[in-house]
Amino acid sequence: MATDLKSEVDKTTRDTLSVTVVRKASAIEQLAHKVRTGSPKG
Amino acid sequence: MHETEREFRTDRFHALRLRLCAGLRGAVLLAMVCTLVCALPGRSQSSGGSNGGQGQGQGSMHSHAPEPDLSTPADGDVDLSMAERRIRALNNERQKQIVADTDKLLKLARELNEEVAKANTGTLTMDELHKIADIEKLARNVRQRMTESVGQPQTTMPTPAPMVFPTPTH
Repeated sequence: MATDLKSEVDKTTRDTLSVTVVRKASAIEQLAHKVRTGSPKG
Repeated sequence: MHETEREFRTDRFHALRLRLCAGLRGAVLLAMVCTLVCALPGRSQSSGGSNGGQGQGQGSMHSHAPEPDLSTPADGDVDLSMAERRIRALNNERQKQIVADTDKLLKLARELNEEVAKANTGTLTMDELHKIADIEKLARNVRQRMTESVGQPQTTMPTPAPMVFPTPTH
């Protein structure tokens, strides 16, 4: 997922608003949140 | 007696001539000063009218006189180009931040992947949890930076062609 996000970001320019980047970043954020909060601390 | 009288007359004539020359010089100087004094307020008024009362002295008049004609119509252009440059710089900065955050995110994800594969315990350490939190934060930053663009958005949607309806023929 992170590799996909990187390749999508590399395609964009300063004037581009990429929906794909937004979706992929959002998916990574949600997954990271789920793993972090669902896993036992310590 | 004649010689002394002639010498006396010559001396008087010479003194008179000198006085006349001095008087002429003084008159010419006075006329020049008057001309300068009369000319200065007229110029400052004419330049003050076009310049908004900023003309002070001859040097400043020469430097300020051509400015309004050149700068007044270009003021809007200068402001516009400055704003455009600022927006471009901000968008460049935003793009750089997005790329930097994505690079960090990818690096952290690879490190985390390697660590989890090596440990293979089914539990996460504190370091791994910190990395996951960082990944979450970076992904949020990328998403937010991508959605908030600086300046006017560029429309990529093409304008729809006008619809043509066939006319019924009876």
